Formats: sequence, C-alpha cells, structure tokens
Amino acid sequence: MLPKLSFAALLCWSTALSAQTPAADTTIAGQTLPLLPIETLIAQLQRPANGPAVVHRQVAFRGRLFAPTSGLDTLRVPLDLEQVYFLDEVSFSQVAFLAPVRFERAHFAGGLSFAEARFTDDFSLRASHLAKHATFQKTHFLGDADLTASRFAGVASFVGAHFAGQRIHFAQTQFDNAAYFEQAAFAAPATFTDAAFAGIASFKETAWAQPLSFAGVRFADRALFWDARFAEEVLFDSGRADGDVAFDRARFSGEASFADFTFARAARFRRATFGRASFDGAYFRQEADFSESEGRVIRLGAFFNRSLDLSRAAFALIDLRAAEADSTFATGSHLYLHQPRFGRIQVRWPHLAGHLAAADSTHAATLDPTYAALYHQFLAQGLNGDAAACHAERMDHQRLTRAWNEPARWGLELWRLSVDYGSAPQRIIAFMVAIVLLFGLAYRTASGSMRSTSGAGQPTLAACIVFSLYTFIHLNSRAWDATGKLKLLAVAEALLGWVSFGLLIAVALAHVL
Amino acid sequence: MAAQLNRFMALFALCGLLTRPTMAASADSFSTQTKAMDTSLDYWTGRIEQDTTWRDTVYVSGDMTIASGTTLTLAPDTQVLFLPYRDDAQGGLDSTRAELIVEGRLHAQAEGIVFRSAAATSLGADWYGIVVERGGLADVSNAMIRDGLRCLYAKRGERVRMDHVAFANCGKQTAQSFSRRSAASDSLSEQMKAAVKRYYTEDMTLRIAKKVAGGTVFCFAFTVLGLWGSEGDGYYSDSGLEGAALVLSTAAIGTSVGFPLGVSLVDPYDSLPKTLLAGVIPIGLWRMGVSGFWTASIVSVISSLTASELSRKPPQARRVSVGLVPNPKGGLSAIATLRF
Repeated sequence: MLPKLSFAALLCWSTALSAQTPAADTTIAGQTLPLLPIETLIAQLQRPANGPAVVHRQVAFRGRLFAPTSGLDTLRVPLDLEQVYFLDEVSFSQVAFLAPVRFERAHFAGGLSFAEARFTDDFSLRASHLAKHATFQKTHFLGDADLTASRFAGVASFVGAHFAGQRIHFAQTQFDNAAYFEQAAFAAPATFTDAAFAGIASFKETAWAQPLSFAGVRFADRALFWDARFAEEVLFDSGRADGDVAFDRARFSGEASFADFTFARAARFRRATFGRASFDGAYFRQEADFSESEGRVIRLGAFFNRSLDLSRAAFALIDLRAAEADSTFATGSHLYLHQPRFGRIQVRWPHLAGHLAAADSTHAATLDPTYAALYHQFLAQGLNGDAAACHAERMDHQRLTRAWNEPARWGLELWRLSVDYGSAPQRIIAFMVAIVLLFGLAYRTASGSMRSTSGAGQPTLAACIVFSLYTFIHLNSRAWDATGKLKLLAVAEALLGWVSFGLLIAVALAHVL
Repeated sequence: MAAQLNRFMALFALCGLLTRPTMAASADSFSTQTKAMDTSLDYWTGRIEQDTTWRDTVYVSGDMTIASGTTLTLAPDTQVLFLPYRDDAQGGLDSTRAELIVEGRLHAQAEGIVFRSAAATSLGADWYGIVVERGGLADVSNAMIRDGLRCLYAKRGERVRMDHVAFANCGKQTAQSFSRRSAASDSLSEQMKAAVKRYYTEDMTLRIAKKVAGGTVFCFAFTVLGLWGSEGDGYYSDSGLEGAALVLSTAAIGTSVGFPLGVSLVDPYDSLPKTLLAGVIPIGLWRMGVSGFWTASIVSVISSLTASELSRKPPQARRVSVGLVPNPKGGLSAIATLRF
C-alpha cells in the first residue's frame, strides 16, 4: 500500500510541478527523469519503415496518447522503451505494429489500450506496471507475446485476443483486478506459471491449441473456465484457488494435470470432457462436482473434504486410489455415484465405505445400481472381500431404509445377524448355537409345560438345552415333550432351524462355488 | 361521529380503489406464461423482450434491459452477479459498468435474492446498479443489493417498491436503506397524496353538483324524519306549532343540519364544523326574525356549499413513523422519522 501511495504522490507531485514550470525533469520514485511531452513520442512513432528504432530509457512522458486521433494507424519502426513512465492514458487502439514492440519495466499511470491492435512481430510488456485498466480486446499477436511479471492493477481485458506466435508468457503476472480472457485464442504454447489473479478470472470459451501451464497459479477469486478448450497438455500443478473454480463444459483433449492443486472453494467440472486427467494429491476443501463429465482416464487420488460428485459421469477408467493420504475421503464426506458409466474403477472398498450417498435420499433404491456396479467391479478385480463388504453395505442401506413394520426389515435383520448378509459364514454356526441356548433357557423358564415321557419331574437346564437342540435339528426328543403354549415356541425354533440350515447350505455353496 | 366514520370509510375505499389497478396488473403479469431462462454457464447482456424468470446464478456482463411491458421475475435464492468493470453493451448511464435497466417490471419478491459483484471480494463500484426508467417498476423485497456504484437509481417519481432490502458496499449516492414500515408508509403516503391531487384536479362543477345532490337528499331526509317524529310525541303540538309552521320548522332543521351533513359526506376533505356552522347561522337568523325563511334557506345552502369548498384541505401525512433499517453490521436498527 505504502509504495503505491508514495508512487501516486510522486506522480501527482511531478505532474503538478511540470504544469507550473517548463522544467524538463521530473522525479519519480526517487529517480530524476527527463519529462517529455507525448507529442515527441508520437512524432517518432510516425517514422517510415526504414527509419531508426524508437528507443527510450528512463524517461517520462506527459500527455495523453490517443492513436486514432494522432494519425497513428501503422507503426513501422521498432519500439523499445525501458523504464519509461506514461503519466497519462495511452491508447494504441486499432494500430498495426509492423516491427517489434518492447516495454520493459514501463509504468502506465493512466489506462493502456491495445484494443484491436495488430502486432506482426514480437510484443513484450515485461515487469511493467499498469495502474489502471489495460485493454487488449481483439488484439492480434502474430509474434511472441511476453507479459512476464507485469502487474495489472486495474481491470485487464484480453477478450477475443488472438495469440499466434511461438511463445506466450504470462508467467508471474499479477492481476490485481478482474482479468477477462473470454474467447481468446492461444495458438502457441502458453505459460501462466505462478500468475496471480486477485480478482475474478474469466477464461470462458478460451481456446488453447498448444500446451499450457498454469502451474503454481493463484486464483484469489472466482475462476471461470466455462467451455474452454485445451487441445494439448495442460498443467495446473501446485496451484491454489481460493474462490469457486468452474470448468463446466470444458474440453481437455490432451493430458490435464491438477496435481497438488488446492481447491479452497467449490470446484465444478460439470459436463467437462477429459482425455487423461490427474488430480493426484489435490485437495478439494468444498464440493467437487464432476457430474456428467466424461473421458478416458481420470485419476482422482485427491482428498475430498466434503463431497465428490461423479453422477452420470462416463469414464473408461476412474482411479480413486489415494495417492498420498491414508484415505481419499474425509469423515462425513460424500461420494455421489448416481448412474455412473465407467469401464473400470480402481479403488479399495475401505476408502469408499460409508461415503456413498444419493442426492435424492428419499428413494431407497437410488443407490442400488451404484452398489451393484461397484460389487461387480470388485469381483472382476478379484477383490472378493471388498465386494462382500460392498454388498454388506448395500444390504445395510436397504435394511435401514425400511421401517420396522415391514416384514422385509425383519428378514434383513435376521440375515444380517445370522451371516452378515452372507459375507460371514462362520457366524451362522455361532448364530445356531445362540438360538439353541436361548431357546433352552426359555424352555427351562417355562419348565412347567414340559412333560417327561419317563415320568420325571422338572427338567434340568441341560435337559432343556438338549430338548432345544433336538427341536432345532428336527429330531424328536424321546425324553421330553413340550405341552401347552410352549409348543408354539418349539414350532418357532423348528422354523428357525430350517431357515438356519438353509442359510448355512446357501453360504457354504456360495463360498465353494 | 357517524359522518366522520363514513368519511374514513370513504377514504379507505378510495385507497382501495387506488391500489386495485396495481394488483390487477400483477395478476395480469402472472397470468401470462413465464419462460424460465436457462441462465447457467453464460454471461448475459441485452434486452429482455418477454416475461422471463431467472433462478440460481446469473452472470451479467453488460447492461440488461427489461423492456417495457415485460416482467423479469427472480426465483428464491437467485444470485445476480455482475462482472466487475464490465459493460459489453457499452451503454446506459455508465458505459464501463453493467446496469440492470428497468423499463418494464422487475419482480424480485422472494427470499435470498442478491444483486452483487461477481467478485467474491469487491472494493465496490464493480457495477452500476438497478436503474428504473420512466414507466418501469422495481418491485424488490427481502433482497441484498451490494457492490454497485449506485446500487439503485430511480429518478424522482419513478416507481420503486422496496421491502426489507439491504444495501451494502454501495456508492454514496445510493439510497442506503429501506424498510418495511417506512416503505409501506411512504407508499401509502404517496398514494394518499396522489388521491388528493386527483381529487383536487377533478371537475369542480361535478363535485359541487354532487354536493348539492347529497345535501338535498339529506335535507329532505331530515325534514321528513322531523315531520314523522313530531306526529306521535306531541312536542310541536305542545309548543303550539301546527300545520305550515311545523313544516317550516322541520324544513329549517333539514336545511341547517341535513344539507351541510350531506355536503360534507360527499366531500371527505372539507371541514364539517365549518360547513355545519355556515348552514346553521342563516337559519338561526330566521328564527330570530332577522330574515325571512326562504331567504335564510337559500343563504344557508349557499353558505354551507361555500364553506365546504373553502375549508377543503388534503389529509395530513403521518407525522411520526417508526421503521427498521439495516445497519452496517448486518443487524437492524429502529429509526423514528418526524415530519414537520
């Protein structure tokens, strides 16, 4: 803040001073610079093609440069300005630059406009400071464009700009306000490495035909990449977005890497198309929405703090294996996999257990296809244990969504208790023993209704357990007989015995086969 | 008392008549088929030429104009986000900032509606504001308007209805706050003023004719009632009044009391005591023998009509009103307004 203020104060002071006296010098940021009227530069810019280059070092220009009214429609000589201060607005709108243009550490106190300008040769605006708006709308860069380390304090607009040179550099560029790149076309490899966007960054419908790097980028506000086209490799590695990020309907034809990217707010990739995409090590602090997206391979070895939505997503391969962290999903986070279409999913069930959720929780069957798809995926990969656990959670989900007055709920409860939905065959044995013992205790409690065939009095506990065992396995006890209402209990135990043996055979066959 | 009650009822009826056209217009708007616009994933600028509904999030990159005769309805929780320092239309009051120009009707009466900058952290003045043009109507309630240069701009006399609207991070020229009560009282006050203005500017001849008719009806009514009432109680017989004298006496009551009451009832804005006094004095003079009956009656009628016209006065707006306004901390502060 302080440097800004001091710079502004110095500018004001120097401007006021120059207005009072015809002095040719001015002091800016501790430097004494020659102060020239802008007409001097305009006259130099009108040199013919074979004229000398326009070169200025450490000079300040006073006055407004407005090319359309200054007769500047074509610049034929090279422009080389280093550490030059423009104290007023500069507009090269609709100007054709036929020779290289180079600004190094230039300062534009007023606005700067190259709207609809055309650079036939290289353009460089390095380490420069633009205090107000910068307009490059529909500007054509036929040569290289180098805007490395420049700072755009005002709104920067590159809407409809066309970059067709060999290299495009926005590395370490700072955008303090909104940056608009909509419908811009990058025909050359572009780098936005370590660029910082403090305001909204809009890349809607922007097209990159060559590799692109946003590695280390910082988005402090919204970043909108709706309908963007990435024809080649694109890197967003180690970047960070503190605002919402939206890649809705974006198309990544090449490899896309978001490794170690931090999404502090919602990240949306709805209906995006990927070739191969990697999000390994990324951190999604809020919602991650990949619904209706599609592609060949997507690696989501990231950490999802709130939710991952893969509803109606279609991928040949989804890799959800945790890359570095112990788990892909935070406790309480959700995975929406409604109607997915994937050839293969790589994940272990423990990473997903308890995280599957449906957007519409009112329908119990909503998740059934998801569980079924995962179950078959695990079986196909030979992960039988994971498949069984997945099946158990599916049944649990079905069980818990049913009310207690539904017979199916009781059936599912019995199935869970007896064999854990078929996944624990050893449990059936314990279940059978428990039944025998419990009923034995019941017979002992109602021993008055027990009748001995040998004329003995009250049965002992051991005799009741033996009677319970005989009843359970459907053998007639020769020693004791149940009478009265106790017969109903015996019938119930006999039925349970039938069911238990049925389950035992089913589980055994399932494991053998 | 009854006359005053009647006058209040007439005033309420008048207010009801005034509000009815607006409600009818609303009903008409909603009876038409509204089109739910898919506003997702696009930037909006231009004109809205047919009834439209916005929902969820709408990004505006330039001036949006709601054309005359068109209604833009905002669904609950709609966020209208204006791209900062951006005006693709390059028009309106500010060619560098987006505006929502209301030539038709903006209907934003739902919870959670926000008009703001698309930037999450805005320094302000990122967009211009809602601009209500002549003939337009901005009907906004329970909304938040922020980050605009003016947030809301309406020329004097344009129709803006604000109810529980909070403004934040707006330019100094913005009306900072509206509240339910202040808005409602302002609205009622405006309606009453409009009614009075209309009443004052209506045809004076017609009004006086109405007064004469009303006064005559009441005059005859009082006279007939007086005659009917005097038959059984023997009051006038006891006092020695018989025949023509009795008729004159009851007609005098009808003229002095009935006529001014009828006049005053027709015109709710006159002063009943003054009208009544102007009607009673000539008849009193007749009773004292200063003038003849017919002269006194004619003078009574004329003077009561004259007093009614001269004492006409528009109703006073509420002197004290209390309203709630949003404060910068996000809460509500009570504000009492005194009008002098």
